[in-house]
Amino acid sequence: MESRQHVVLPPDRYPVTIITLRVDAGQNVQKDDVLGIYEYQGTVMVKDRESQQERPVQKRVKEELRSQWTGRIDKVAVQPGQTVTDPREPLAIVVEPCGHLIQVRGICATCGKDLSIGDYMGNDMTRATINMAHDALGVTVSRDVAEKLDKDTSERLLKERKLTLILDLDQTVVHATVDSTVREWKADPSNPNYPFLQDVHVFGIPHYQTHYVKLRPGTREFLADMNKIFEMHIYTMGSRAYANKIAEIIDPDRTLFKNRILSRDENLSRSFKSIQRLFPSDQSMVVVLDDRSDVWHWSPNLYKILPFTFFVGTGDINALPTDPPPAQRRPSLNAGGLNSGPDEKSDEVEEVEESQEVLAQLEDAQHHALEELEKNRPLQKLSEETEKDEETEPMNIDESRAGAEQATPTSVTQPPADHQGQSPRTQRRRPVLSENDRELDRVKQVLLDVHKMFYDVQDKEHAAPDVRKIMSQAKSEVLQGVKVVFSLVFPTNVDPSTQDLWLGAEHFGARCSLELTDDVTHVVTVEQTDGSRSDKVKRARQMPGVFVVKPEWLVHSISRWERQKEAGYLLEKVCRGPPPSIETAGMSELDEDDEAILSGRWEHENDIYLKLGHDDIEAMNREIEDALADDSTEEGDGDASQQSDFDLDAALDAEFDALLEEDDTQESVKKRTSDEAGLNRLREPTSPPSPSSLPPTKKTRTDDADIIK
Amino acid sequence: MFFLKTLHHTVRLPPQFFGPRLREHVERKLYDEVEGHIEGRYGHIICVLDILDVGRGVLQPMTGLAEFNVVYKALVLKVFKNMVVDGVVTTVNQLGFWAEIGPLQMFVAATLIPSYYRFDPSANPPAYVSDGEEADISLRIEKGQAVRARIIGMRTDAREIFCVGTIKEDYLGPQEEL
Repeated sequence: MESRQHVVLPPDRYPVTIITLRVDAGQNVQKDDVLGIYEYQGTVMVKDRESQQERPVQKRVKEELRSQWTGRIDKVAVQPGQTVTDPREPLAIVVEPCGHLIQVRGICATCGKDLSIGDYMGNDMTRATINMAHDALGVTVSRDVAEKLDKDTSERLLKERKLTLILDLDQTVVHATVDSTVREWKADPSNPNYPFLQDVHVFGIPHYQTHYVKLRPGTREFLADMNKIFEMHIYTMGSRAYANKIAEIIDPDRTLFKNRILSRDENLSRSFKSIQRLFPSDQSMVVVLDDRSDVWHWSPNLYKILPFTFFVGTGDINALPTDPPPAQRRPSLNAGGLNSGPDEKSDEVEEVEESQEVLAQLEDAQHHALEELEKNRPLQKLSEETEKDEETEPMNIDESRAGAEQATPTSVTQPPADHQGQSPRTQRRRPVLSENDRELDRVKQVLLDVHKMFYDVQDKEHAAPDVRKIMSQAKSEVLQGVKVVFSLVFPTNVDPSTQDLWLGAEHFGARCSLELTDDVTHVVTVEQTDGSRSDKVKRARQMPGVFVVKPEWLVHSISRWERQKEAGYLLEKVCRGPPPSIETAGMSELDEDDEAILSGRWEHENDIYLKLGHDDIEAMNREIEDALADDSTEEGDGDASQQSDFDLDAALDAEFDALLEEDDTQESVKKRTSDEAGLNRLREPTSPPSPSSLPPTKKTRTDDADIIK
Repeated sequence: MFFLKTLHHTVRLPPQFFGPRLREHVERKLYDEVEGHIEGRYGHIICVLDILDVGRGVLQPMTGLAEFNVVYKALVLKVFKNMVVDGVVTTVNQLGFWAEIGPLQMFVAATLIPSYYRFDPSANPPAYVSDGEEADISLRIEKGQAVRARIIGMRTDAREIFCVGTIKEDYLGPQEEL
């Protein structure tokens, strides 16, 4: 393959004047041959004789113009004496017999030359550095060739009216485990999990434990349908042997994936995946389907599906073992501190190549993790726990049923992975495993839409559209107009704006913040094990129209490309959003300010707080404590008489709130300030609690406790 | 090309093998260490045909190992540039195809496949298919196909030898029967 090379000089040399030329067109030159002599205005360091110091001097410098290539001079574009000013203008053109554009481990695949032998100018191996084949046999190509191959692929796909779909395996279409409990259950018809395990595939991989693999419900139909409009690739963090085994299961006659399978053995990195690895220059027709977004740096091509968890207690067996398995990890906690800014424009092939040593360590770690998993047998533990619970607490079944209903937001949806961790309590008397995951149907619909939009634009404008634009557009409409505040979701030692959930929300059109402001629509927070509430949550639940939801609301909205109904994800059993119970308790005489204070939105609240010094606050604290002293005794009496009417939960709730308040002086000061501003009046109607209006009483009682301590 | 070569190899035997079956141990160790491996100058050592001399072991003063300088006759495979070889296709992709020539890996780039072969990614398995105009019969280069190619360059690493080849010449390419 001939290649034309332009002879140019470094841009800082220009303008240059050609003094002499030593070659003519048609002549053959060797690498490093002198083509001519040129002169330029250069800076040289001259040693001053007297001061012995070097100083720069501007002077005309003559230099030899050498050929960087071996080949035939095709054209000499300059004359002796001519001055060239444009650095882009070639001085001469050399035609090389071979451009070494395709190389195999240091040998040119076209001419067979050993390119690893270099000279002082380096070697030619740098000309072809892109590995774009699925295998890792070592064929590399140059950028030009890669672009041409990408273009060929795009043209072919356009002709077939297809797009490219890069598919992840683990927890996207299959779930695998090495827990040998599966084998026992599978052979035991009396086990409640028996029916679900009949289509579990079992295979061994040399040097690994026996793997048990369950296909996500609907996988085969999904793949068959997708094959009509997508050219599908497998891109997995599993080993090559594992990928091949799974491919055998989901694609027995190899019609879907052929040899388009990329495993971690061929990937450059153990922690990231990259579309550029397969499509170095053109990603405009690629859709990625994966359950992890961090490994893709939140690529605009990505559809993030909800992870498929069938074998409860097992995460992604091929994930980096340093990560907590998804079954236990909160969406916020994974892969902290990764600088995962989406670099959409980056054309460079990412080469995060890890050293052999590191890879070997990771491999060891994975072996270890698998051994651990096999030893621990999470499934068996889980089912034993379930049985034990049943024996010891037969009385509480009703209560835990109610709990189960709360944990599964809507009856059709699969409870998210986080909940399955708690399932021994919630799914008692039922098999530990379940098979009601229908995520692939949703995904299919979205992908069909993307494909249709792509080819609608294509047909109308006759120009190739960009999947990235279509997908980004569709994503950003999902949470349009939503402003999310996170509370207790992210660890304090990481930048929240680098976290998965935050980035995800922003990609889907939501605005994210850590501060509770007027325009906030959702507060996302996690259920604390002790039932306590954060400051933000407390304030937010006084704000009309603000939903306090669990992170799953965001995760599901993102995974389903559809804003989920908040009702199923509310932190509290009762929605305390729009109709605040306080107002119904006969507070209509409140003026605007009072209302604002009540709902925690009073605009001057912070002003007051700022103006107050430490002494003032202390003085105020004393004052209030004094003033409330009798109040609280009254309250105590009231409590005693009412105790039987409150359920235990509410009482505990109030106590927790009160305890928490004591720790948080800022909070209490704010409350007290607002108290001064007129809350005394508000408490009046509730101090003799009337048994007839229980819910509002309960509510205000809680508040009272907040204030009183 | 296959050669019959007389080669030397130094076997170092740990003391626990010193005894009546010492010679057997030396021979077994020789087979383990050289068969299937690469000898830089001579290429792949396919198999040891005859052990000519085990020699008298020399004890190493520091380690207690005995060193035997074994002389053996072996069948070696050595390939040369411009040699025409027969192989079996293993992988086909849009960049070209890989073939196995016994223990050797060979890559043939798409540019060195005659232009009447078109890469067909939708075929199963993927293949280069001749469109039948220039070629008399329709030929396919796919996994498992026997091919004849000329070696245009090669490289010897510590553990393997691999080479690049061409089939863009007369009488090269897919073969009916090897």
